[in-house]
Amino acid sequence: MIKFTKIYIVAILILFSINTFAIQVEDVMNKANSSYQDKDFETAISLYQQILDDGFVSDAVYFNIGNCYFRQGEIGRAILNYERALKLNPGDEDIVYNLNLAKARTTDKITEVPQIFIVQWWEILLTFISVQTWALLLVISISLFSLSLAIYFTSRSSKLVRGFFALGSILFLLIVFSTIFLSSSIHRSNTYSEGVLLEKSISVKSSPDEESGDVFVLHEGIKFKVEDSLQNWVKIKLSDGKVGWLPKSSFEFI
Amino acid sequence: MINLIRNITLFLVCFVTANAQNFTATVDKTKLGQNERFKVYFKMEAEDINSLRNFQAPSFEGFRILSGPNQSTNMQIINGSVSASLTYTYILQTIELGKFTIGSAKVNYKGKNYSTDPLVLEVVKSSANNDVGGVSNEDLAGSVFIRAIPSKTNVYQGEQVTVEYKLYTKANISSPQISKLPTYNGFWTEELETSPNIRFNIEMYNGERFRAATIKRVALFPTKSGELTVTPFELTVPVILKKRRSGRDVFDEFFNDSFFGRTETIEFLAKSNELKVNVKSLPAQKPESFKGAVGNFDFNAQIDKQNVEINEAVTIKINISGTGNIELLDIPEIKIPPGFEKYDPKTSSTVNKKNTVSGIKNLEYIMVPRIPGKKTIPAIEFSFFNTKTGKYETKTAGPFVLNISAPEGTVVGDVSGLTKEEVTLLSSDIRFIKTNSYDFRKKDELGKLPGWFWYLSISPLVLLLLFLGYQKRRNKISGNIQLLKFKKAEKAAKNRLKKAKKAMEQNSLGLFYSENAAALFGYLEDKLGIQKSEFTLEKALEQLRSLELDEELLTKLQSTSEKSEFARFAPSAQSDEDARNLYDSTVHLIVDLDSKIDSARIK
Repeated sequence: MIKFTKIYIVAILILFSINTFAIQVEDVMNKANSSYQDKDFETAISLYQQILDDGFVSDAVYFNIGNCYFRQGEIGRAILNYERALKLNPGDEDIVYNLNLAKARTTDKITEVPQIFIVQWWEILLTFISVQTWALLLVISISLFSLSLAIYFTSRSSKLVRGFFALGSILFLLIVFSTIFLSSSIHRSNTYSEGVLLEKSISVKSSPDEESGDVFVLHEGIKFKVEDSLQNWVKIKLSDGKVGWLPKSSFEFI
Repeated sequence: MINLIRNITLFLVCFVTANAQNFTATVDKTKLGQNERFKVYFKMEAEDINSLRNFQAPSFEGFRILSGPNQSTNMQIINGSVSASLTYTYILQTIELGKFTIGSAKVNYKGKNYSTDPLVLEVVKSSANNDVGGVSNEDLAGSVFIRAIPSKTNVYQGEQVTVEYKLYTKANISSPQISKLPTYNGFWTEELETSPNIRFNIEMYNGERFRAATIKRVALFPTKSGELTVTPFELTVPVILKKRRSGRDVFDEFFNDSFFGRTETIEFLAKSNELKVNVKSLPAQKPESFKGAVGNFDFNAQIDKQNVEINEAVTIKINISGTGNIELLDIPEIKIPPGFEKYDPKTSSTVNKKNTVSGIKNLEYIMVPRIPGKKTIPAIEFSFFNTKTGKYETKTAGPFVLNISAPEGTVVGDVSGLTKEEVTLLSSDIRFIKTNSYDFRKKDELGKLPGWFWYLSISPLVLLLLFLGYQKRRNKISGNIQLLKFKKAEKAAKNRLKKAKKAMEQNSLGLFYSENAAALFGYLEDKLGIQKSEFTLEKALEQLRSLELDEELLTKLQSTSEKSEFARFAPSAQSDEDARNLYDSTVHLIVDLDSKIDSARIK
């Protein structure tokens, strides 16, 4: 028993220590924001980048970096960062708005199939709470479930037994759901299968070879799926189904 | 007999009616000269010629129809009876020698079909009476004819053959009429220019002096290989002949002169010879860019600028000139690299049709570069088959290198075709950066389970199991001995009763009574959960009452227990009989109590 309380205390301490780090990071963030307001986008970008280098991420950081690049006319990088922000916080109105604005300035107009609202809700739900919170929720529901089971088994009063049986079932469902969410959330954050083109314009090749024929031309800011990779080349697929090969240096993963 | 009469009358009636309608075919003469004109008449005699329907003329095979059918009607009223006739007349001309048959003509009169008998005609060499002015058709054919003169008869597919049609004449003719144009199967034809008026020149042919005029010139381009035939060209030439008089008096001789002479015009059909052209197919190993051009051509292409800005139009001009089937040429293709917007080429051509078909074909490709960079338009190839050398020739122009620059401020790419929504998006500005609710997360914790997760998720379950195990053990130790006893009360009582019975059989009554009492009280203690030290009969009775057992059983219990208590302390005062009674009543009591208590508990 004592051992477990110790672990709880350690966990709480870790959470607090993150908070103290976060306070420092927020200072950097505010500095970067004021640089942005002074139209010193270069400095702002480097400060935001510092936050990322320190190992912190946030949709706000990516969004703000996106804005900096947009102001500098680098539409490709702007879109890349908006997409990254959107991955952390899908459905955020500001991010969606700026992303659409940046996309309007790109050359390739490929109509993307809009997401089904259920998928969008799911994404929002997944990212609404961090993996840690999902994990915490799961731990709490498991603890409560165990507690209610214990009461269920020892109680003699039939009223208590019935009440705790119901509570136990609800908690069991909660455990199932939070397990699903937790695993999906982990899966989602660990998959990088989409990229955004950063080169102004590039000829997509028919095979991973500089000498091979051009299939079509893409312009910066277009988003595509990465399906395969070979040495310094990746196979991409556009949302309209076109397939070709691009050098790895021409794009970045979202 | 009656039958015979009926048949005869029927036959007579038929004869009369058959006589009334008569459909016959007649001809001027049955013996004809070549190219002679004659008339054929189909005459229908009937009362009511207006009800004639569906006249079908025979096919006049072997003859040329000059005119017809011409209809004429004739009506007669003799002695009040009306007879009428309708005649269809054809004017025909013989063509060749031999025997010919004109088939039956058919007509429908009042629902009945009539047909004529076939006519057999013979066409013989012009007899004297066929000659017009003493000139036979053969003579005419020798003095008026057409020659089709090809430039070559052995050519490659696509090579030009010029055919000249010349009219030769020794006789006086007036302006000829085209009666049949040649057909050029397997050729693409181009009519060459000739002077609008026919001009005759003196020309020698076969050692004779003729007046000759070119009436038609055609350039032919064979489109397939093999032996191709051009059908003859036919002209109807009116030949003016002097009419000769029979009689040979001086007077006549004097007037037998063109000046005085009466002339007659006869229509003579002049035919050209049939042409056969042997067409060789083009040799194999065609160059890739060969698209059917045959002749001798020049080819060049130019680009109007080399340094352009994006969205600025670039024109490539292609010029093909030379002799050959220029109008049939397929335009050479330009392989334009991606990043260009290409438009359909503008084509213009001027063709000279004097002797050999020649000309110039101009093509203009317009394209608009949409992305900056150095782009190469590969060389444009044009291949043709040179008929002079009998070889394929390929001419190239280019490649063209374009330096496409994007001036500052231009949006790279095609920005046209924006939707309204996008236009409004372009004109609006992005939203401001986020300045609060940063929601920082540790990057390496994204998508990773926190370290404490497994401990904390498993420990409650382990704790639960430990707790449940502990609970069970405690239950076993402290727990329900009561319950255990309750369940084992009957068994314990049975054991004691057994012992009591044994004692009774051994005649040790003291032991029997104590065991008997112990069986009863022990049973009650166990069943009612009363500690041995605290047990009194009153307490037991009180508990049994609370279980609502019937009073009779309780009094029985009371009396039995009092008896056994009494006997315990004074065993000698009792007989064996008493002991047996007590034992029996104790056994019955315990059995009764057990069932009653159990059923009461369940309630």
